[in-house]
Amino acid sequence: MKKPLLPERPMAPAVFHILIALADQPLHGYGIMLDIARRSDDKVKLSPGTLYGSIKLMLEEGLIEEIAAPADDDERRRYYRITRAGREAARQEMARMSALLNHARLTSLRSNEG
Amino acid sequence: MKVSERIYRWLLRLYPRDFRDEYGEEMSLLFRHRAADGSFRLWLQVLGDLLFHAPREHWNILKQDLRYAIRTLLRERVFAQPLSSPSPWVSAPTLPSSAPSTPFSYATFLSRIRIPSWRSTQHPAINSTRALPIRTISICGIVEYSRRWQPLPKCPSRWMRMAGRNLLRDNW
Repeated sequence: MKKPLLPERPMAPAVFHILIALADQPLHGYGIMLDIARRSDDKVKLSPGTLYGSIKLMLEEGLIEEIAAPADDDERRRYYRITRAGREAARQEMARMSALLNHARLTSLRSNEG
Repeated sequence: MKVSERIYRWLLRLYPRDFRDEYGEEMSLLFRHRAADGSFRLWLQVLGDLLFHAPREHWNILKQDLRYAIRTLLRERVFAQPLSSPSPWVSAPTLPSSAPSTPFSYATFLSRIRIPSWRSTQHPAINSTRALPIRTISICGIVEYSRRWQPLPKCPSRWMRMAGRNLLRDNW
């Protein structure tokens, strides 16, 4: 059987952005948004609804978990950390996007033809 | 607190209460930080949130409720009984006595109305299952009851009156 080009369902961009932001350190919601904005040169700024809607979904699916906030921070802020399942999901998404890019590079899109 | 933040806090009411209780405070904080950058893009995003994300959250909560209700229904012995029962009329799908979610609460309310002159001893087939409270009866149960034991009043209004009287007598 021929292997499909994209075996897994693509991850929502907001979810992938959040996983990347949390890959190296735990952050609160606003920190996540700032990190995403910084990485994308202010092109991607998640709205409150998108950010917290995605966070809720990711908590339910076990991709991230909530941890205790540092003592010196605003107690209203909640910190999130990536889980092992979250890392695995991010790696799979990276592999999927990488495979897609490899396929694209094999086409005429790579060069400036046509 | 600025006026824009007050408006945003008010608009958060369009989200489901559970979601608002969980994330409303942080969303307001985020809005306050973002409002300092510039407001036009932010308000566009807020509008998008209200049009797409708020209904999606409502839908998610409804889905959770429905899943929970279906699981509860499937756990009810009476509901599962039709699969093995030789008499499909007597043990036809019966609504549970304590459905958890709003859509099912109406069904529960209706299912708890006693049919006129109902006596538990008159219908051993339905009352033989302990999981089924005496006051709970399915639509198919009513059909079976009327066929076997006692014809229901012909006039629907009279039937409704009698059912209402029974309902009041039950101390709800």
